[in-house]
Amino acid sequence: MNLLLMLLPSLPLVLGTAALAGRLGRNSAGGGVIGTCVVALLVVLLEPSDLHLSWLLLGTTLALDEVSRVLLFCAALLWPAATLAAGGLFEGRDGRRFGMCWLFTLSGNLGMLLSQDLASFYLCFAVMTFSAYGLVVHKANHEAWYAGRIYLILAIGGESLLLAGIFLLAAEAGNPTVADIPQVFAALDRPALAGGLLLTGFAVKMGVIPLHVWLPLAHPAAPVPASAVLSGLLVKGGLIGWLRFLPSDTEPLQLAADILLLLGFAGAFLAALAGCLQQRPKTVLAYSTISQMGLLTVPVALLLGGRLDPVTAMPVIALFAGHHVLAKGALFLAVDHWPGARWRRLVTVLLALTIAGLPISGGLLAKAALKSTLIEPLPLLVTLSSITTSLLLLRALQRLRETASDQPPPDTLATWSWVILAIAAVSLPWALADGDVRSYAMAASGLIDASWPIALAGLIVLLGARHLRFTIAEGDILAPIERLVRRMLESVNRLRDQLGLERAQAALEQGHRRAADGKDRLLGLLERDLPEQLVTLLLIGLLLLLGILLIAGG
Amino acid sequence: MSLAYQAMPLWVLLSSLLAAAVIFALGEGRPRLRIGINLAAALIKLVLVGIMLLGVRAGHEFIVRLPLMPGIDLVLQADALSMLFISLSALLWLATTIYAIAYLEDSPNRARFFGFFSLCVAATMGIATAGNLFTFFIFYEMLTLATWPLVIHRGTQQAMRAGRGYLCYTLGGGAVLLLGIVLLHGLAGPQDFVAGGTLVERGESHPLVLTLIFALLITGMGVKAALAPLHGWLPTAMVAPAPVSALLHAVAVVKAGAFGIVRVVYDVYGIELTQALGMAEVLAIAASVTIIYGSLRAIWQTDLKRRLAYSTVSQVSYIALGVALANPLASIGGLVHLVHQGLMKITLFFCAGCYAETHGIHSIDELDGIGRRMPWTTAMFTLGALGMIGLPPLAGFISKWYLGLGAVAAGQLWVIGVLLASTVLNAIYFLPILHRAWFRPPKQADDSLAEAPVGLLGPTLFAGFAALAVGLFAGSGWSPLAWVELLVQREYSP
Amino acid sequence: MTEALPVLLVFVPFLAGLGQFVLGRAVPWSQQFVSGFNLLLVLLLLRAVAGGEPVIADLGGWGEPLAIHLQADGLATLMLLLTAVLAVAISLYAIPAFGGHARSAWQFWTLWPLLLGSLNALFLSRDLFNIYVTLELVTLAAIPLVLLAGPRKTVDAALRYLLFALLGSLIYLAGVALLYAQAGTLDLALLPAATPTGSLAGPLAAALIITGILIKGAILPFHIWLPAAHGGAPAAVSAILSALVVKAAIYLLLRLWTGALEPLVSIAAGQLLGLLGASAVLFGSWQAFRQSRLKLVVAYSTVAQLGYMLLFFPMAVTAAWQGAVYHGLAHGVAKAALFLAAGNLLYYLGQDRLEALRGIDRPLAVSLLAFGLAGVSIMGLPPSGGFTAKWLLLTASLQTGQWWWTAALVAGGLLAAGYIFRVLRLAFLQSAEPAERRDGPVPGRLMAWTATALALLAIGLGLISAPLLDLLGDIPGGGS
Repeated sequence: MNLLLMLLPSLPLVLGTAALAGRLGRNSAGGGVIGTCVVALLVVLLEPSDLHLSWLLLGTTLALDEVSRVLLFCAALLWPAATLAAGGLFEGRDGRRFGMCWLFTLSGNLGMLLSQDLASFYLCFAVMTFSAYGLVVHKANHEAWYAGRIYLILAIGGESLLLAGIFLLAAEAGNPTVADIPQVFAALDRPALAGGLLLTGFAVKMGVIPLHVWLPLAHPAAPVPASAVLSGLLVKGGLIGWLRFLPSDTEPLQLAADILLLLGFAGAFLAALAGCLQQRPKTVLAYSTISQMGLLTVPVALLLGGRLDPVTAMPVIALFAGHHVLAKGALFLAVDHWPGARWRRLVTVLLALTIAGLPISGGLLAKAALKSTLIEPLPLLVTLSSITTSLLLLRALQRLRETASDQPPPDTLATWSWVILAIAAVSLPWALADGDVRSYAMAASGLIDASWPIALAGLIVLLGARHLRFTIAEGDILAPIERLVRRMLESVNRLRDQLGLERAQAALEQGHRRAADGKDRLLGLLERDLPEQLVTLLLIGLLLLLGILLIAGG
Repeated sequence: MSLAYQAMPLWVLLSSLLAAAVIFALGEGRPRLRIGINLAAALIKLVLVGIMLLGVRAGHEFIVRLPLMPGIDLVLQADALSMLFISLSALLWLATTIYAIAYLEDSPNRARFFGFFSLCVAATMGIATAGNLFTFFIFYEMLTLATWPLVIHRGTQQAMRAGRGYLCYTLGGGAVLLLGIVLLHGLAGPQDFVAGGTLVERGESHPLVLTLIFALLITGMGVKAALAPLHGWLPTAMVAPAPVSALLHAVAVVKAGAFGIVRVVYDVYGIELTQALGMAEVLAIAASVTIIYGSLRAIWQTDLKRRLAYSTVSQVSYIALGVALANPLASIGGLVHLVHQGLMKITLFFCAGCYAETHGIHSIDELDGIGRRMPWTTAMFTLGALGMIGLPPLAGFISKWYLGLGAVAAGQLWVIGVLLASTVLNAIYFLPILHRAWFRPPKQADDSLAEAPVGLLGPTLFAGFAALAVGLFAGSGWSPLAWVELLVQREYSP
Repeated sequence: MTEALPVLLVFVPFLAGLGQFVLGRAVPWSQQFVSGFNLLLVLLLLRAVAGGEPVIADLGGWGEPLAIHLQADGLATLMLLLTAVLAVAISLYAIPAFGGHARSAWQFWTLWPLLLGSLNALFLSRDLFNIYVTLELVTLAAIPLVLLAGPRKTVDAALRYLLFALLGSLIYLAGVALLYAQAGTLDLALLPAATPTGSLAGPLAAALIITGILIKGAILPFHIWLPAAHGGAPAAVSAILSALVVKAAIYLLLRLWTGALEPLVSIAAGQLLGLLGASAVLFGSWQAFRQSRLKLVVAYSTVAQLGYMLLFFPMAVTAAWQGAVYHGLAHGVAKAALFLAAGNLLYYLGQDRLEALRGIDRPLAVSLLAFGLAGVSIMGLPPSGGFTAKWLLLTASLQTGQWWWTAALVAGGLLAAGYIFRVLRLAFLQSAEPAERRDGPVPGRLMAWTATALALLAIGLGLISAPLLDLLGDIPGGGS
C-alpha cells in the first residue's frame, strides 16, 4: 500500500515522457493529472506508512508529515484545476514541450512534499525548479526569456548554496532523513554555517526579500495556470525545506532566526507597498505572494529561534500555507475568468478578500491562528499587515478591471474545478483550525479585528487611487543591481580585450613563422657553404682528437 | 580455475585486437561482413567482461603473466579498479560501434576507421587490465597511435592540424611518462600494481627522487587526462567525427589518463606516501585549477563540440581531485565519476553528432528551436547537460555528492567552493544551450519533426538513460557506485 | 656437426653467387633456396650456441698463430640471425622488384649472395686481418648494388661511397698494421694480453681502427656519403645497406671495444663516441624531418638510428650492451621494412617526392601499414624492438648516472615521431580535387606483404626479447 507514495512522483514522470513523445493531448493530460491527484487524495486519506527504498538514489525515504499532508491535499485540488485551465497549452507546436515541463514540475512538486531524506528532497526540489523554467519561458518572448534568466540565476545560486549546506550535513551523516536532523546538527563542527547555507538556499524559493526578485518577473511572464502553481505550490518548496532540514531551537542558529524574522515582516510590508505601485494585475498578485510568504516566514523564524514549540507551530503553518495554496492559486486562475460573466468576477473578489482576511472566510482563520501563536507586539504587526494586504489586493482587482481583455472564459470543466478550488479556499481552514481560533474568528472582537483593516484599505483606495502616479519597475531592486552587474561584466570584457589573449596568440604564431623562416635560411646557408673540403678537414681533426683522447686515457 | 578462465583479460584484449586484424585484412569491400564482425566482437567482449565481472565479484583472480624482457613481465590482471574501467569501455564500445556504423554510412575509408577503432579499444582494454606500469605504458602508447588515424579521419587540413597537436602532446607526454617509469624501475625494480602501493618504505629514504618521479608520471598521464595546461590537444581534436570524439572523451583516451593517475596514486605510491610527499595537495590544486579553467574557457566557445571539449577538460579533473583528496568519500566520488562522466559525455557527443548529421548543426546559435524538430535527441542532451551541472538524479550529482562529502571530511572546505563554482559555471555554459534548443523559435520556417536515424538515436537514448539510471539507482547493489564503494573499502583497509 | 655450420654459412652463399655469375642470367628461385638454407643453418647454430658455449671452426687446420678461426658466440649469432631473416625477406621481395630487367636482375642475384656470404664471414671472423678482408668484400659487393638503380642516377653517390669506404679501409688498415707491430698477433682473443700499454703507438692504432670503422659505419660527421647512396639505390638494396652493411661496421666496433681494444680505450673516448652518437641521433632525425623525398627521409633516419648504438660506449654496462645490440636488431628489421615499404610507394608513384604521397592511403594501404608499424619501432614506442632497446639504454643511462644521454634518447624518439608521422600524415591527407592518375602499377602481394611481415617482426621483437637477450648474455669482461 505504501507503494502509492512511489506512484505519486513517478506517474507524472511517465506521463511527461509520453508528452515528449507527442502522445499526450489535452484530454489525456487532464486525465493523467486528475488520476495522479486522486492517488494523492488517497494518500492523504489513507496515511500509508513510510516507504524506504535503499536502491533508489542514495537511499530514499518517502512519507507524509503534518504540514505536507495538508499541502498535498491542497496540491491535489490545485493541480487538476490548473491543468484543466491549461488545456490548450498541451497542444500545438510547443505542446510537447509544455506537457513535459508541466508534468515534470508536478512530479517534482509531489515528490518534494513526500521525500524525507536530504538527497531525494534535493532531487525533487531541483526537478521542480528546472522544469518550472520551461513554464516561465513558455511564451517565448523577450519578456519571458528575461524573466526566465533571472529565475534561473537565482535558482542556481540557491541550489549551489543548498548543495554546500547539504555537503556539510551529509559529510556528518551520509544521507540524513528528517528524523536525524537534530542529532546531525548537534554533531556538526560548524552548525551555523550549514544552517545558514540551507536557510538562504531555501529562502530563494520562498521569495524572502531581497531574494524575491524572480517572483514579480516570472508570474506575469508565465501562462496563467503556470503562475497559479508557481505561486501556490512551488514557493512552498522553500517552506518544506526549512521545516524538514533545519533544527528547531538550536543555539547557533539564533542569529539567523532573528534575521529571518526581521526579513519576514519586512517582506510582508515592503512587498505589499511595492506591489501597490505595479501596473499589471499578475505582477500585483506576485507581490502579494511575496508579502504572504513574508508572514509565513514569521512562525518559521520563531520556531527556529526556539520561541515557539513545534507542536503549536506546525498546525498553524500548515493552515496558513494550505490556505494560501488554494486561495492564491484560485486567484491567479481568476485572471482568465475575469472577462467572463459577472458571477466569475464576484468569486474573484471573494477570493481576494479571503486572502485579506474577510470575516468568516478561511483567510481570517489563517491569520487568527497565526496571531494566536505570536507574542506581543507581533500580533499587532500581523493585524497591520492586513491593511497592506487589503490595499494590495484591491489594487489587483482594480488593475484587473482596467486591463481586462475580451478573451472567452475557460470551458466548463475548468470553470467547475476553479469553483471547487475557491470553495475549498474559503472553507478548508474551518476544517483544520482548532476550537479557540474558530471561536475567536466568530467572536465580535475577531470580526472587528478583521473588518477594520479592510475598511480602512478600501477608504484609502477610494481617496488615493486617483492620485497615484508613481510606479516602480517589476522586480523593484533588480534594475539597479542589474546595471551594476552589467557594468562589471563590461569591465571584465574590456580587461579581457586589454590582456589581449587573442592578440597574444596571433603574435605567438607569427613569432613561430619568423623563427621557422630564419631557421630555414640558416640551414640553407650551412648546406650551401659546407664544402667537402671542410668535411675532410673535420675528419682529420677528429682523428687527431680521438688519438689524443685515447692517449690521455690509455 | 582453469588456465583459460584465469587468462580472461587476455581474451578480452584479443577480442578487439583480432577484430581489428580481420577488419584490416578484409579491406574496403564487404561492408556487411565488417559490420557483423564489429558487432560480434563488441558483443563477445561484453559477454567476456560480464563473466569477468561476476568472477571478480566472487573473488576470483584473473592474471596473465608473460615475460617480456629479463626481469620485466607483461602482466594483465583484472582487479576491481580494472573492472570499473573495462565495463564502462566495453559497454560504451558497443554503443559507439552501432553509432559509428550509422554515422559513417557510405563515407570513404570505413575499413581503416573501424580497424583503428577496434585497435583503440584493444589498447584501452590493455590499459584497464595492465598489472604494472610497464604494461600500462605499452598500451598507453598503443592508444596514442591507434587514435591518431581516427582524429585525422576526415583528412582535411584542419583535421591534420588537430592530429599534429594531438601527437605532439601525447607523444611528449608519453616520453615524460617513460622517463618516470624507467627511473622508478631503476629505484625500486619491477613493481606490480598493489592496492596501497609498494613504495612506502622507500619513501623515507628517497623522498626527493620519488617526488620527481611522481611529477613525471602525473605529467605524462596528465597530458591524456587533459590537466591544464596540458589540455591543448583536446579542444582541437573535436574536428574528428562524432563517434571518435565520444571515444576520446568518454571511453578511451581521456579516461586512460585519469585512470593512470588513479593507478599511480593508489597502486604504485599508495595514498599515504602520496600525502607524505605533499603531492596529494599539489594534485588537488592542479585538478581544481583545471576544473575552473576548463569551465571558464567553455563559456566563450561558440562551436558545440568545442564547448563540450572544454567541458571534458573540466569534468575529468574531478577524478583526479577525488583521488587527490585522499579520503574514502572523495575517492568514491572521483572513481565513480570515471564511469559517470563517461556516460554523460558520450551522451552529449552522440547528441552533437546527431545534430550535425541530421541537420548540419555545428555551432550553438544554430540550435534554436531544435527541441521541436528533434525532441528525443534534445531530451537526451538535456539529461547529459543537467547531469554535468550536477543535478539529481543524474549521474553527475552522485559524483559531486561524494566529492563534496569527501572535501568536508578531509577538512578542505575550499574544495566545496571549487565544486560550487564549477556547478555554476557549468550551468552558465550548458543552460543557454538548453534554452536555445527548447525555447527559442527555430530560424528556418520548416520545423516539422525530423529526428536522427535509428542507428544514431538508439545509442544516444541508451547512453542518456544509462546516465540517468546510474544516478537514480545509485543505491542499488549493482550500480557503479556500489562497485566503487566496494573498491574503496578494499583500498583503504588493506 | 656443429663445427661445420660456420663454414657452410660462409661458403654456401659464395658458391651460389659464383654459380649465378657463371650462369650469366638471373635465376631468382635459386637464391630463395640459398637464403632459406642460410636461415636453417643459422637456426641450427642458434641451438648450438644457446647452450652457452661458442661454436668454433678451424679452417685449414693450421696451428695457433696462422689458423683461421670462425667463431660464433651470442653476439655473432644474433647478427647472423638478423642477416638470415632479412635475407629471406629481401630475396622474396626482390623477385618481383627485379623481375623485368634481365641485366640488372642478373647483377643483383650475383652480388647479393656474395654480399650475404661476406657478411656472414665478417660476423664469424676472429682476426683483425680477416675482418679487414671481409669488410672490404662487403663494401665491394655493396657499391655495385647501389649502381643497379641505373648508373646515371646513382653514379655520383656510388663514387662518393667508394671514396669514403676506401678511406675508411686505409685508416683501418694502418691501425691494424700499427697494432700488429706492437702485439705481434691479430687474433682477437690473444690481443688484449699481447698489447703493451703505456706507449703512444697502441692508443694511436686503436684510434685509427675506430676511426676507420666510424667512416664505414657512416657515423656523424662521416655520414655524408650515406643518404645519397642509400636513398638512390633500389629499395631492396637500400634495405640491405641500411639494415645490414652499416650495421656490420658498428657490430665490429662493439666487438673490438669490449674485446681486443679494451686495454687501450679510455672513459673520455667513450664519452666522445657517445657524443658523436647523440649528435647523430639529433642531427639525423632533424635532417630526416626536413627532407622532401621519401627515401631520403628513411636514409637520414638510418644516420640517426645508428647513433643510438654508439650510446653504448660511454655507459658500458650490461643494460647498455644489451640495449645497443638489441637496437641493432630492431633497427635492422624495422629499417628494412621501411625501405621496402618506401620502395612500394615509389613503385606505384614513379617518384618519391613527399608531396606526391597525398591521399594514397587506399591503393597502398598494406604498404602504409608496414611503414607505420615499422615506424613504431623506429620511434621507440611500445611494444616493439625499438622500445625494448630504448628502455634498456634509458635504464643504463640512469644506472650509470649519465642522465644527459636520456635527453638524447627521449628527443630522438620524439623527432623520429616527427618524421614518420610527417609521411603518414600526407598519406592520409585528402585533397579536394579527385586523386591524380598514377602511372605505376599497384605493387603485388609479395612486395606488400614482405614489408608488412618485417614490420610485424619489428613489433614482435618487443615481445620476444627475453630469449634473445639471454642468448646475447652480459657485457663481455663484465664492463668497466
